[in-house]
Amino acid sequence: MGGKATETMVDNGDFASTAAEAETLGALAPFTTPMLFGARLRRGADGRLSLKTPGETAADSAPIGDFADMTLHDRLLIGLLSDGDQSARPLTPRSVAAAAMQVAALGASGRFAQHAAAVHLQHVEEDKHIAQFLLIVRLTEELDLECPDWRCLNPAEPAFHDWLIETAALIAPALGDLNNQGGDEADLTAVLEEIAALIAPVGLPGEEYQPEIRRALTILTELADALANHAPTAPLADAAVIVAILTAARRTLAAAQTILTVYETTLNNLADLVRHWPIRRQAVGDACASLDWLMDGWVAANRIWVDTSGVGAAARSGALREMALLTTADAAHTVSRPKRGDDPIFLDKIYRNELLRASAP
Amino acid sequence: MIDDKLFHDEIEASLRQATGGQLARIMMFVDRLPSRAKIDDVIAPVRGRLALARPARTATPARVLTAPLENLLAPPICESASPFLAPRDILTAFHAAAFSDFRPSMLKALDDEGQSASMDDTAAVIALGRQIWPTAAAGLRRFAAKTAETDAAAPNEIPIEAWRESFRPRLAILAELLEHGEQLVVHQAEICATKALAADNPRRHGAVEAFLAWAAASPAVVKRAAAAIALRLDAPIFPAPPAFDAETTAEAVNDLVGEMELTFSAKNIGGYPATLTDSLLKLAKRTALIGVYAANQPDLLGRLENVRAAAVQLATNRLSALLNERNFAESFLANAAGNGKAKQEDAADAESLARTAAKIADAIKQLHHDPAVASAILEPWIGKLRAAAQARPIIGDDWRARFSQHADYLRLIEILSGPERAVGEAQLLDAWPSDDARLSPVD
Repeated sequence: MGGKATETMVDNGDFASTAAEAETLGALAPFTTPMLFGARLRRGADGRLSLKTPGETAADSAPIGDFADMTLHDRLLIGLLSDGDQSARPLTPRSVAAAAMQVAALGASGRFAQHAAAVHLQHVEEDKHIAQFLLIVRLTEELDLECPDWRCLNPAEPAFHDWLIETAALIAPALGDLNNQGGDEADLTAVLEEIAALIAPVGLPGEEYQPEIRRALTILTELADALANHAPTAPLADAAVIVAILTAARRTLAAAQTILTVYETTLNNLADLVRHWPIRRQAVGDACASLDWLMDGWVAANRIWVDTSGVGAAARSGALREMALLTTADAAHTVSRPKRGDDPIFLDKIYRNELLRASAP
Repeated sequence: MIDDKLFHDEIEASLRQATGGQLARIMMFVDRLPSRAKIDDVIAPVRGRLALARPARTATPARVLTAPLENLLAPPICESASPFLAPRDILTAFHAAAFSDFRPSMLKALDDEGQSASMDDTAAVIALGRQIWPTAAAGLRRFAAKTAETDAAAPNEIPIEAWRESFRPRLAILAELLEHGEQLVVHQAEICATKALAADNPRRHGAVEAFLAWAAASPAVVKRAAAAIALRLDAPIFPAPPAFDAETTAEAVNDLVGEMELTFSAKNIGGYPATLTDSLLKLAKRTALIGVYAANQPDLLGRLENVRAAAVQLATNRLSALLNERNFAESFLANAAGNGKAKQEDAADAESLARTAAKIADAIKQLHHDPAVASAILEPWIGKLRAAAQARPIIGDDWRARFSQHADYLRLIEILSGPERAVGEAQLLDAWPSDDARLSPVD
């Protein structure tokens, strides 16, 4: 790869029209209030949040505080994202999900979601450990070094961190000065930790272990196949919405594959990546961020789909429309948004949304 | 967590299979990480609960036979409200009479064919229906003619189980509806399919108008039944579409009001709170629909007012009984007042009860002119919960720690009285962020 300071990993116009489009729409917010299902959040240049529900025009937007039925969970989530520290940070699917985990951990969306958030947070930390492990092992292979014995390691134990330091000390001389800056093994450890933290959701190419984004892509592929199989026998009323979701799914998969191809080419030469990390950082970060934007909403949509297998056609039609809210920008598939008191199952929908967010973070 | 020795043994066993000089990426230890098994534990209890729907039903001959009439079925008490309603206890006799001309082998073949079909698959239901409805209609007419000759004072001579004389006038109507079964099923399915759409969505209106336009060109019996069906599907038929006459509309509305009068005069309306809530909310919707029509009909308005009052009384009695009977998860309240948190199952039970109570209370608020009536029943329970929460020793300096401590209680308040009330209670406990400006971003 070249040494341009501002190089990007993307050179395919199709990607830009899909991930950039997702970013323009805003990050899906895992709200539990039924009327906010499918709503997206963006942060303006002044750091203030804006919220938009599908099908809503700018003229329709109301201040968030006008939603009297907004659940405790949703109020706390918006509060957290509006907080002084948070407001300076870009709003991304990952930052919204992290904030939602914090709110769930408080118990604002119930015991089940609280437990699920704790498990998920643990999972995220462990994915970083796995990425660190794989980085180190792959580097020793690339540099033809003897890797210290890792067979008794458990990433959940302190000995794992000691092993990382020991192996970094082994690798550092073989890498030479990092980016000609006179680095040592301490710098290398810091660089590896930073790389691991960034790539943990996407992982390294050719590995059997599938971290979050890889799993999401597998899920999306399976969902697209399932919808394609369902389409011929679906009621006519569902045809248009199935086509919209399927089209979005295929565009997303194509765009993701384009990004992954370039990403994997970069990561197949780890020594070069580490040596030139200060100038590679942006490109790798952009690729990971673009994948986050592309996958926003698909895991939840799949959860809805999987859970309606074996239920009645009316429930399935409703599920497809909810999936469209999460995955397409097409306002034609909007559904009614009754307030509490108008809808006999309003409270059940809140509960359902809490379960959905817990099982598909 | 697995035993350390077992963990090491497994790794060593798998390593023996690795090729020399090559580091195999053994990810078994990854799979042993603490969170891996828990992820499945997280998903499993949720599975199947996200759909908020009933499972699909197989297309048995009896179900297919009844499909055109499904939205005319009513509790037996409502039998006298309208000749177009089918009291549920007619089904046994109806099936027996309708299938009287079917050979057992034919019924078996239909049953086998239906096993692989769902009642939600309209095309499959119609395919089976074409084999059932015409013959069933003829069977009903033959049965009606034959039994008309029987002495009405000797009903035990009617060779059908669970027969009542009051069923007789309905036989001809049911036969005629079966003869138009295909169109009834198609239109009802279309209206149901559009229920997820917004009320002002043209597709939803279009489905209802198409149904009523078809009915208007049909025999009088079908026309009346279609109006009754449309009202029961909460479909607006006021003002009546051009192809649909005012007289039919008026008769259907009177039948519906009669049904509601009978429903809410009963001492017990369904054995379960869900049935009560469902009936109350249907009443609220139908009252609103009918109110549009009844604007110039004081008698009808008066009847609606009486139904509303009876329903509210019934609901407030049931809500009080429900809360007192379950005593609001006694163990939950007791644990909430102590140092420990309530057990997860107690918290879940308490939330489930709160949702049931809140739904009934919300339905009462829809129907009663004074929304405080329902609140008055809930307030003592909210007071008990508040007292239990306030009795707990305060932990933590941060609002987050206090919110987490009182999360179970605040969620119950949120369910019973809404999130605004829950925020107020949280603020009383210093369990809410002090800077409210952060919660009202504007754009």
